[in-house]
Amino acid sequence: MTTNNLPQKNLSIGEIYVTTKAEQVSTVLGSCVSVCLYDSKNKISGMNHHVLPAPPPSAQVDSKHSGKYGKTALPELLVRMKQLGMETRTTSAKIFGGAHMLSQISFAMINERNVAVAREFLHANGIRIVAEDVGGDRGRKVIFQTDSGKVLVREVNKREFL
Amino acid sequence: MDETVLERIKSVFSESAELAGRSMEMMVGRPLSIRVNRIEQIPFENLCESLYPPDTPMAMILLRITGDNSGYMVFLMYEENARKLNEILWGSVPFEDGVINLSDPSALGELANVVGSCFLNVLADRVGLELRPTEPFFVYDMLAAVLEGLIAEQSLIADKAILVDTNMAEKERGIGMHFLFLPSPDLVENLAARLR
Amino acid sequence: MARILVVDDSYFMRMVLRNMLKKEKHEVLEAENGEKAVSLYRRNRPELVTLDITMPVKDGIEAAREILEEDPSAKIIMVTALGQESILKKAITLGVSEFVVKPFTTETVLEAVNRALK
Repeated sequence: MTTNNLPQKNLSIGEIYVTTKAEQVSTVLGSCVSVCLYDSKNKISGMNHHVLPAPPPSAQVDSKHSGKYGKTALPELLVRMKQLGMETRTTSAKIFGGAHMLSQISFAMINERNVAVAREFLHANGIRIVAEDVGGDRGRKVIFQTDSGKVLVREVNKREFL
Repeated sequence: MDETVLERIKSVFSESAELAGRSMEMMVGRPLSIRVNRIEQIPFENLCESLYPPDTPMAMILLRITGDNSGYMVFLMYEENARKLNEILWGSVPFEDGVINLSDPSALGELANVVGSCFLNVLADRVGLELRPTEPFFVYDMLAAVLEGLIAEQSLIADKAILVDTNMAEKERGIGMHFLFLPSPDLVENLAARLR
Repeated sequence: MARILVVDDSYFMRMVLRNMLKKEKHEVLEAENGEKAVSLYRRNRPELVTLDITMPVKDGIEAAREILEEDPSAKIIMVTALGQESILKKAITLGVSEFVVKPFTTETVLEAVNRALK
Protein backbone atom coordinates (compact mmCIF):
# COMPACT_ATOMS: atom_id res chain seq x y z
CA MET A 1 0.00 0.00 0.00
CA THR A 2 1.55 3.30 -1.04
CA THR A 3 0.04 6.56 -0.01
CA ASN A 4 2.48 8.83 -1.83
CA ASN A 5 5.65 8.68 -3.93
CA LEU A 6 8.20 8.21 -1.17
CA PRO A 7 10.60 5.31 -1.73
CA GLN A 8 9.60 2.30 0.34
CA LYS A 9 11.63 0.40 2.82
CA ASN A 10 10.42 -2.76 4.50
CA LEU A 11 11.58 -3.25 8.08
CA SER A 12 12.01 -6.91 9.06
CA ILE A 13 11.70 -8.60 12.43
CA GLY A 14 14.71 -7.67 14.54
CA GLU A 15 15.87 -4.91 12.24
CA ILE A 16 16.98 -1.43 13.35
CA TYR A 17 16.88 1.37 10.79
CA VAL A 18 17.90 5.03 10.87
CA THR A 19 17.76 7.53 8.04
CA THR A 20 17.91 11.17 7.05
CA LYS A 21 16.20 10.51 3.72
CA ALA A 22 12.52 10.95 2.97
CA GLU A 23 11.12 7.42 2.88
CA GLN A 24 8.23 5.22 3.89
CA VAL A 25 9.44 2.61 6.33
CA SER A 26 6.89 -0.08 6.98
CA THR A 27 6.55 -3.20 9.07
CA VAL A 28 3.84 -5.61 10.24
CA LEU A 29 3.37 -6.02 13.98
CA GLY A 30 1.54 -8.62 16.00
CA SER A 31 2.82 -9.00 19.52
CA CYS A 32 6.04 -7.29 18.46
CA VAL A 33 6.64 -3.60 19.10
CA SER A 34 8.10 -0.81 16.98
CA VAL A 35 9.31 2.52 18.29
CA CYS A 36 9.39 5.34 15.71
CA LEU A 37 11.74 8.18 16.61
CA TYR A 38 11.60 11.50 14.79
CA ASP A 39 13.93 14.45 15.27
CA SER A 40 11.95 17.23 13.62
CA LYS A 41 14.75 19.81 13.70
CA ASN A 42 17.54 17.65 12.25
CA LYS A 43 15.28 15.50 10.10
CA ILE A 44 16.55 12.22 11.48
CA SER A 45 14.26 9.20 11.75
CA GLY A 46 14.68 5.78 13.27
CA MET A 47 12.60 2.68 13.77
CA ASN A 48 13.00 -0.77 15.31
CA HIS A 49 10.98 -4.00 15.49
CA HIS A 50 11.56 -6.13 18.58
CA VAL A 51 10.05 -9.55 19.26
CA LEU A 52 10.88 -10.06 22.92
CA PRO A 53 11.53 -7.65 25.78
CA ALA A 54 14.90 -9.05 26.82
CA PRO A 55 17.22 -11.94 26.05
CA PRO A 56 17.11 -15.01 28.30
CA PRO A 57 19.58 -14.58 31.19
CA SER A 58 22.05 -17.12 29.90
CA ALA A 59 22.09 -15.97 26.30
CA GLN A 60 25.08 -14.37 24.65
CA VAL A 61 23.52 -11.79 22.40
CA ASP A 62 25.66 -10.89 19.43
CA SER A 63 25.03 -7.90 17.20
CA LYS A 64 23.29 -10.08 14.65
CA HIS A 65 20.50 -10.86 17.09
CA SER A 66 20.40 -7.83 19.37
CA GLY A 67 17.55 -6.31 17.33
CA LYS A 68 15.22 -9.06 18.45
CA TYR A 69 15.17 -7.86 22.04
CA GLY A 70 13.79 -4.49 23.15
CA LYS A 71 16.40 -4.16 25.89
CA THR A 72 19.26 -4.33 23.38
CA ALA A 73 17.58 -2.97 20.26
CA LEU A 74 16.39 0.36 21.65
CA PRO A 75 19.78 1.50 22.99
CA GLU A 76 21.25 0.53 19.62
CA LEU A 77 18.59 2.57 17.83
CA LEU A 78 19.39 5.59 20.00
CA VAL A 79 23.14 5.25 19.46
CA ARG A 80 22.69 5.20 15.69
CA MET A 81 20.33 8.20 15.78
CA LYS A 82 22.83 10.16 17.86
CA GLN A 83 25.63 9.27 15.45
CA LEU A 84 23.65 11.10 12.77
CA GLY A 85 23.26 14.13 15.01
CA MET A 86 19.98 13.54 16.82
CA GLU A 87 19.09 15.87 19.71
CA THR A 88 16.84 14.53 22.45
CA ARG A 89 15.16 17.91 22.91
CA THR A 90 13.71 17.96 19.39
CA THR A 91 12.95 14.23 19.17
CA SER A 92 9.62 12.57 19.78
CA ALA A 93 8.62 8.92 19.93
CA LYS A 94 5.61 6.86 18.91
CA ILE A 95 5.04 3.27 20.07
CA PHE A 96 3.11 0.64 18.11
CA GLY A 97 2.14 -3.00 18.35
CA GLY A 98 2.05 -5.25 21.38
CA ALA A 99 -1.22 -6.94 20.43
CA HIS A 100 -2.28 -10.15 22.13
CA MET A 101 -2.77 -12.11 18.94
CA LEU A 102 -3.22 -15.66 20.08
CA SER A 103 -5.21 -14.99 23.22
CA GLN A 104 -6.86 -18.37 23.33
CA ILE A 105 -3.86 -20.58 22.87
CA SER A 106 -0.83 -18.65 24.01
CA PHE A 107 -0.39 -17.74 27.62
CA ALA A 108 2.85 -15.78 27.56
CA MET A 109 2.17 -12.04 27.99
CA ILE A 110 5.10 -11.12 25.82
CA ASN A 111 3.12 -8.40 24.07
CA GLU A 112 2.64 -6.35 27.27
CA ARG A 113 6.28 -6.63 28.26
CA ASN A 114 7.35 -5.55 24.77
CA VAL A 115 5.39 -2.34 25.24
CA ALA A 116 6.65 -1.87 28.79
CA VAL A 117 10.31 -2.12 27.81
CA ALA A 118 9.75 0.56 25.13
CA ARG A 119 8.04 2.97 27.55
CA GLU A 120 10.69 2.41 30.24
CA PHE A 121 13.52 3.04 27.79
CA LEU A 122 12.03 6.24 26.41
CA HIS A 123 11.27 7.63 29.89
CA ALA A 124 14.76 6.75 31.09
CA ASN A 125 16.30 8.62 28.16
CA GLY A 126 14.08 11.67 28.35
CA ILE A 127 12.42 11.14 24.97
CA ARG A 128 8.85 12.43 24.70
CA ILE A 129 6.21 9.84 23.79
CA VAL A 130 3.69 11.68 21.63
CA ALA A 131 1.56 8.78 20.46
CA GLU A 132 0.85 5.11 21.11
CA ASP A 133 -1.27 2.55 19.29
CA VAL A 134 -0.75 -0.61 21.27
CA GLY A 135 -2.57 -3.63 22.66
CA GLY A 136 -5.77 -5.12 21.34
CA ASP A 137 -5.89 -8.37 19.45
CA ARG A 138 -5.25 -7.32 15.86
CA GLY A 139 -2.22 -7.06 13.67
CA ARG A 140 -1.01 -3.63 12.58
CA LYS A 141 0.81 -2.54 9.45
CA VAL A 142 2.76 0.55 10.47
CA ILE A 143 4.03 3.01 7.86
CA PHE A 144 6.49 5.64 9.06
CA GLN A 145 6.84 8.63 6.71
CA THR A 146 10.26 10.01 7.52
CA ASP A 147 9.77 13.35 5.73
CA SER A 148 7.13 14.44 8.22
CA GLY A 149 7.27 12.05 11.15
CA LYS A 150 3.74 10.96 10.38
CA VAL A 151 2.88 7.31 11.03
CA LEU A 152 -0.04 5.50 9.42
CA VAL A 153 -1.54 2.35 10.86
CA ARG A 154 -3.52 -0.20 8.91
CA GLU A 155 -5.52 -3.12 10.24
CA VAL A 156 -7.38 -5.93 8.53
CA ASN A 157 -11.14 -5.60 8.61
CA LYS A 158 -12.15 -8.88 10.14
CA ARG A 159 -15.80 -8.40 9.36
CA GLU A 160 -14.98 -8.72 5.68
CA PHE A 161 -14.24 -12.40 6.08
CA LEU A 162 -16.64 -15.08 7.31
CA MET B 1 17.73 -31.19 12.51
CA ASP B 2 19.61 -33.00 9.79
CA GLU B 3 18.38 -33.96 6.33
CA THR B 4 17.57 -37.59 7.17
CA VAL B 5 15.21 -36.59 9.98
CA LEU B 6 13.61 -34.00 7.71
CA GLU B 7 13.06 -36.64 5.05
CA ARG B 8 11.43 -38.92 7.60
CA ILE B 9 9.11 -36.15 8.73
CA LYS B 10 8.24 -35.61 5.08
CA SER B 11 7.33 -39.29 4.75
CA VAL B 12 5.19 -39.07 7.88
CA PHE B 13 3.43 -36.12 6.41
CA SER B 14 2.92 -37.79 3.03
CA GLU B 15 1.51 -40.86 4.75
CA SER B 16 -0.83 -38.81 6.90
CA ALA B 17 -1.74 -36.61 3.92
CA GLU B 18 -3.13 -39.65 2.15
CA LEU B 19 -5.19 -40.60 5.20
CA ALA B 20 -6.22 -36.99 5.70
CA GLY B 21 -7.33 -36.74 2.09
CA ARG B 22 -9.58 -39.74 2.49
CA SER B 23 -10.83 -38.34 5.79
CA MET B 24 -11.70 -35.06 4.19
CA GLU B 25 -13.49 -36.83 1.39
CA MET B 26 -15.63 -38.49 4.04
CA MET B 27 -16.30 -35.13 5.66
CA VAL B 28 -17.31 -33.29 2.53
CA GLY B 29 -18.66 -36.10 0.42
CA ARG B 30 -16.50 -35.11 -2.54
CA PRO B 31 -13.11 -36.38 -3.69
CA LEU B 32 -10.33 -34.35 -2.10
CA SER B 33 -6.64 -35.05 -2.20
CA ILE B 34 -3.66 -33.55 -0.41
CA ARG B 35 -0.30 -33.43 -2.12
CA VAL B 36 2.89 -32.43 -0.36
CA ASN B 37 4.80 -30.01 -2.60
CA ARG B 38 7.87 -29.38 -0.50
CA ILE B 39 9.17 -29.59 3.02
CA GLU B 40 11.81 -27.19 4.36
CA GLN B 41 13.45 -26.20 7.55
CA ILE B 42 13.35 -22.41 7.86
CA PRO B 43 14.81 -20.05 10.46
CA PHE B 44 12.05 -18.06 12.13
CA GLU B 45 13.26 -14.73 10.83
CA ASN B 46 12.79 -15.96 7.25
CA LEU B 47 9.49 -17.72 7.85
CA CYS B 48 7.15 -14.99 6.65
CA GLU B 49 9.18 -14.08 3.56
CA SER B 50 9.21 -17.68 2.42
CA LEU B 51 5.42 -17.71 2.39
CA TYR B 52 3.79 -14.45 1.32
CA PRO B 53 4.25 -10.69 1.81
CA PRO B 54 3.99 -10.01 5.56
CA ASP B 55 0.86 -7.88 5.27
CA THR B 56 -1.13 -10.49 3.32
CA PRO B 57 -4.44 -11.17 5.05
CA MET B 58 -4.79 -14.91 5.52
CA ALA B 59 -7.19 -17.31 7.13
CA MET B 60 -5.20 -19.31 9.65
CA ILE B 61 -6.06 -22.13 12.00
CA LEU B 62 -3.67 -22.84 14.83
CA LEU B 63 -3.44 -25.92 16.97
CA ARG B 64 -1.09 -26.22 19.92
CA ILE B 65 0.47 -29.64 20.44
CA THR B 66 0.39 -31.07 23.96
CA GLY B 67 1.02 -34.43 25.54
CA ASP B 68 4.48 -35.91 25.85
CA ASN B 69 6.01 -33.09 23.79
CA SER B 70 4.88 -29.72 22.49
CA GLY B 71 4.81 -27.39 19.50
CA TYR B 72 2.32 -25.91 17.06
CA MET B 73 0.56 -26.76 13.80
CA VAL B 74 -0.69 -23.96 11.59
CA PHE B 75 -2.93 -24.15 8.53
CA LEU B 76 -2.82 -21.11 6.24
CA MET B 77 -5.05 -20.20 3.32
CA TYR B 78 -6.03 -17.25 1.22
CA GLU B 79 -9.37 -15.84 2.10
CA GLU B 80 -11.13 -17.08 -1.05
CA ASN B 81 -9.87 -20.64 -0.53
CA ALA B 82 -11.01 -20.62 3.06
CA ARG B 83 -14.40 -19.36 1.98
CA LYS B 84 -14.70 -22.08 -0.69
CA LEU B 85 -13.76 -24.77 1.77
CA ASN B 86 -16.07 -23.35 4.41
CA GLU B 87 -19.01 -23.53 2.02
CA ILE B 88 -18.17 -27.06 0.90
CA LEU B 89 -18.01 -28.24 4.52
CA TRP B 90 -21.23 -26.60 5.61
CA GLY B 91 -22.89 -27.79 2.42
CA SER B 92 -22.13 -31.37 3.36
CA VAL B 93 -24.11 -31.34 6.62
CA PRO B 94 -27.21 -33.59 6.34
CA PHE B 95 -29.40 -30.68 7.18
CA GLU B 96 -32.66 -31.33 9.01
CA ASP B 97 -32.77 -28.51 11.52
CA GLY B 98 -30.53 -26.03 13.24
CA VAL B 99 -28.90 -22.99 11.74
CA ILE B 100 -26.02 -23.05 9.32
CA ASN B 101 -24.04 -19.93 10.07
CA LEU B 102 -21.37 -19.52 7.42
CA SER B 103 -19.62 -17.05 9.68
CA ASP B 104 -18.95 -19.76 12.23
CA PRO B 105 -15.35 -20.91 11.84
CA SER B 106 -15.95 -24.29 13.50
CA ALA B 107 -16.22 -26.15 10.18
CA LEU B 108 -12.75 -25.03 9.13
CA GLY B 109 -11.59 -25.63 12.68
CA GLU B 110 -12.86 -29.19 12.59
CA LEU B 111 -11.10 -29.80 9.27
CA ALA B 112 -7.85 -28.58 10.81
CA ASN B 113 -8.50 -30.78 13.83
CA VAL B 114 -9.02 -33.87 11.66
CA VAL B 115 -6.01 -33.24 9.37
CA GLY B 116 -3.80 -32.16 12.26
CA SER B 117 -4.80 -35.22 14.28
CA CYS B 118 -4.05 -37.43 11.27
CA PHE B 119 -0.53 -36.08 11.24
CA LEU B 120 -0.06 -36.35 14.99
CA ASN B 121 -1.51 -39.88 15.08
CA VAL B 122 0.98 -41.11 12.49
CA LEU B 123 3.87 -39.22 14.08
CA ALA B 124 2.96 -40.38 17.59
CA ASP B 125 2.70 -43.95 16.41
CA ARG B 126 6.12 -43.82 14.74
CA VAL B 127 7.92 -42.33 17.74
CA GLY B 128 5.96 -43.98 20.55
CA LEU B 129 4.73 -40.78 22.17
CA GLU B 130 1.34 -39.32 23.00
CA LEU B 131 0.71 -36.11 21.03
CA ARG B 132 -2.61 -34.29 21.16
CA PRO B 133 -3.83 -31.09 19.49
CA THR B 134 -5.67 -28.48 21.52
CA GLU B 135 -8.94 -27.12 20.19
CA PRO B 136 -8.44 -25.17 16.92
CA PHE B 137 -8.02 -21.40 17.02
CA PHE B 138 -9.20 -19.54 13.93
CA VAL B 139 -7.83 -16.13 13.02
CA TYR B 140 -8.04 -13.88 9.98
CA ASP B 141 -5.31 -11.25 9.96
CA MET B 142 -2.02 -10.27 8.34
CA LEU B 143 0.32 -13.24 8.00
CA ALA B 144 3.31 -11.76 9.85
CA ALA B 145 1.19 -10.41 12.70
CA VAL B 146 -0.08 -13.89 13.58
CA LEU B 147 3.14 -15.80 12.98
CA GLU B 148 5.08 -13.30 15.11
CA GLY B 149 3.14 -14.36 18.17
CA LEU B 150 4.19 -17.95 17.63
CA ILE B 151 7.72 -16.96 16.75
CA ALA B 152 8.01 -14.89 19.91
CA GLU B 153 6.87 -17.74 22.11
CA GLN B 154 8.77 -20.44 20.26
CA SER B 155 11.96 -18.45 19.85
CA LEU B 156 12.41 -18.54 23.59
CA ILE B 157 13.24 -22.19 23.03
CA ALA B 158 13.86 -22.82 19.31
CA ASP B 159 14.94 -21.00 16.17
CA LYS B 160 13.51 -22.95 13.23
CA ALA B 161 10.16 -24.08 11.88
CA ILE B 162 9.30 -26.82 9.45
CA LEU B 163 7.27 -25.65 6.51
CA VAL B 164 5.21 -28.22 4.65
CA ASP B 165 3.77 -26.84 1.47
CA THR B 166 0.65 -28.69 0.40
CA ASN B 167 -1.91 -28.47 -2.28
CA MET B 168 -5.42 -29.60 -1.63
CA ALA B 169 -7.44 -30.40 -4.71
CA GLU B 170 -11.14 -30.78 -5.04
CA LYS B 171 -11.60 -32.18 -8.57
CA GLU B 172 -10.17 -29.45 -10.75
CA ARG B 173 -10.57 -26.68 -8.20
CA GLY B 174 -7.14 -26.51 -6.63
CA ILE B 175 -7.39 -25.11 -3.12
CA GLY B 176 -3.90 -24.18 -1.95
CA MET B 177 -3.15 -24.59 1.70
CA HIS B 178 0.08 -24.38 3.67
CA PHE B 179 0.76 -26.45 6.71
CA LEU B 180 3.38 -25.34 9.21
CA PHE B 181 4.81 -27.66 11.80
CA LEU B 182 6.67 -25.99 14.67
CA PRO B 183 8.07 -28.69 16.93
CA SER B 184 9.57 -27.61 20.26
CA PRO B 185 13.17 -28.70 20.92
CA ASP B 186 11.99 -31.61 23.09
CA LEU B 187 9.93 -32.93 20.20
CA VAL B 188 12.76 -32.35 17.73
CA GLU B 189 15.06 -34.36 19.97
CA ASN B 190 12.61 -37.23 20.13
CA LEU B 191 12.00 -37.13 16.38
CA ALA B 192 15.73 -37.27 15.67
CA ALA B 193 16.22 -40.13 18.10
CA ARG B 194 13.15 -42.23 17.34
CA LEU B 195 11.93 -41.69 13.80
CA ARG B 196 12.89 -44.58 11.56
CA MET C 1 -35.66 -43.58 19.94
CA ALA C 2 -33.56 -42.25 22.80
CA ARG C 3 -32.39 -39.10 24.55
CA ILE C 4 -28.80 -38.53 23.47
CA LEU C 5 -26.33 -35.94 24.74
CA VAL C 6 -23.90 -34.74 22.04
CA VAL C 7 -20.70 -33.18 23.39
CA ASP C 8 -18.17 -31.39 21.17
CA ASP C 9 -16.64 -27.90 21.26
CA SER C 10 -17.17 -27.59 17.50
CA TYR C 11 -20.58 -26.23 16.53
CA PHE C 12 -20.08 -27.86 13.13
CA MET C 13 -19.60 -31.31 14.71
CA ARG C 14 -22.61 -30.88 16.97
CA MET C 15 -24.71 -29.95 13.93
CA VAL C 16 -23.52 -32.98 11.98
CA LEU C 17 -24.30 -35.39 14.81
CA ARG C 18 -27.55 -33.72 15.74
CA ASN C 19 -28.83 -34.00 12.20
CA MET C 20 -27.79 -37.64 11.90
CA LEU C 21 -29.50 -38.52 15.19
CA LYS C 22 -32.65 -36.47 14.68
CA LYS C 23 -33.20 -38.20 11.36
CA GLU C 24 -33.44 -41.43 13.37
CA LYS C 25 -36.01 -39.76 15.64
CA HIS C 26 -33.71 -39.46 18.66
CA GLU C 27 -33.99 -36.53 21.06
CA VAL C 28 -30.75 -34.54 21.11
CA LEU C 29 -29.18 -32.43 23.87
CA GLU C 30 -25.92 -30.55 23.34
CA ALA C 31 -22.92 -29.43 25.37
CA GLU C 32 -19.78 -27.65 24.18
CA ASN C 33 -17.35 -28.76 26.85
CA GLY C 34 -16.82 -31.46 29.45
CA GLU C 35 -18.04 -29.38 32.36
CA LYS C 36 -21.40 -28.61 30.74
CA ALA C 37 -21.62 -32.25 29.68
CA VAL C 38 -21.33 -33.48 33.26
CA SER C 39 -23.94 -31.05 34.61
CA LEU C 40 -26.35 -31.75 31.74
CA TYR C 41 -25.91 -35.46 32.34
CA ARG C 42 -26.81 -35.05 36.01
CA ARG C 43 -29.92 -33.02 35.23
CA ASN C 44 -31.26 -35.02 32.30
CA ARG C 45 -29.87 -38.55 32.56
CA PRO C 46 -29.73 -39.19 28.80
CA GLU C 47 -29.63 -42.81 27.63
CA LEU C 48 -26.44 -42.15 25.69
CA VAL C 49 -23.59 -39.63 25.47
CA THR C 50 -21.33 -38.96 22.48
CA LEU C 51 -18.15 -37.37 23.76
CA ASP C 52 -15.32 -35.59 21.91
CA ILE C 53 -11.95 -35.77 23.61
CA THR C 54 -10.30 -32.45 22.75
CA MET C 55 -12.33 -29.68 24.41
CA PRO C 56 -11.59 -26.58 26.47
CA VAL C 57 -12.49 -26.25 30.17
CA LYS C 58 -12.76 -30.02 30.67
CA ASP C 59 -11.76 -32.66 28.13
CA GLY C 60 -13.67 -35.78 27.15
CA ILE C 61 -11.59 -38.21 29.18
CA GLU C 62 -12.18 -36.24 32.36
CA ALA C 63 -15.88 -35.81 31.60
CA ALA C 64 -16.24 -39.56 30.93
CA ARG C 65 -14.53 -40.30 34.23
CA GLU C 66 -16.89 -38.04 36.16
CA ILE C 67 -20.03 -39.27 34.42
CA LEU C 68 -19.11 -42.91 35.04
CA GLU C 69 -18.24 -42.21 38.68
CA GLU C 70 -21.67 -40.73 39.13
CA ASP C 71 -23.44 -43.40 37.07
CA PRO C 72 -21.45 -46.58 36.34
CA SER C 73 -24.16 -47.74 33.95
CA ALA C 74 -23.78 -44.63 31.74
CA LYS C 75 -23.43 -45.40 28.03
CA ILE C 76 -20.69 -43.35 26.41
CA ILE C 77 -19.41 -43.25 22.82
CA MET C 78 -16.07 -41.44 22.40
CA VAL C 79 -16.09 -39.59 19.08
CA THR C 80 -12.58 -38.40 18.35
CA ALA C 81 -9.98 -37.70 15.68
CA LEU C 82 -7.30 -39.02 18.01
CA GLY C 83 -6.55 -42.64 17.26
CA GLN C 84 -3.43 -43.07 19.36
CA GLU C 85 -3.30 -46.26 21.38
CA SER C 86 -2.38 -44.61 24.68
CA ILE C 87 -5.39 -42.30 24.44
CA LEU C 88 -7.81 -45.06 23.43
CA LYS C 89 -6.53 -47.22 26.28
CA LYS C 90 -7.27 -44.45 28.80
CA ALA C 91 -10.86 -44.26 27.59
CA ILE C 92 -11.33 -48.02 27.50
CA THR C 93 -10.07 -48.50 31.04
CA LEU C 94 -12.60 -45.89 32.18
CA GLY C 95 -15.37 -48.06 30.79
CA VAL C 96 -16.71 -46.28 27.72
CA SER C 97 -19.01 -48.36 25.55
CA GLU C 98 -17.89 -47.51 22.04
CA PHE C 99 -15.45 -45.58 19.87
CA VAL C 100 -16.01 -43.67 16.67
CA VAL C 101 -13.03 -42.16 14.93
CA LYS C 102 -13.48 -38.86 13.06
CA PRO C 103 -14.25 -38.39 10.33
CA PHE C 104 -17.06 -40.89 10.23
CA THR C 105 -19.86 -42.00 7.95
CA THR C 106 -23.47 -41.83 9.05
CA GLU C 107 -23.58 -45.64 9.06
CA THR C 108 -20.63 -45.92 11.44
CA VAL C 109 -22.21 -43.54 13.93
CA LEU C 110 -25.67 -45.08 13.81
CA GLU C 111 -24.29 -48.60 14.18
CA ALA C 112 -22.30 -47.52 17.24
CA VAL C 113 -25.36 -45.78 18.70
CA ASN C 114 -27.56 -48.86 18.17
CA ARG C 115 -24.97 -51.17 19.70
CA ALA C 116 -24.56 -48.93 22.73
CA LEU C 117 -28.28 -48.60 23.30
CA LYS C 118 -28.89 -52.35 23.38
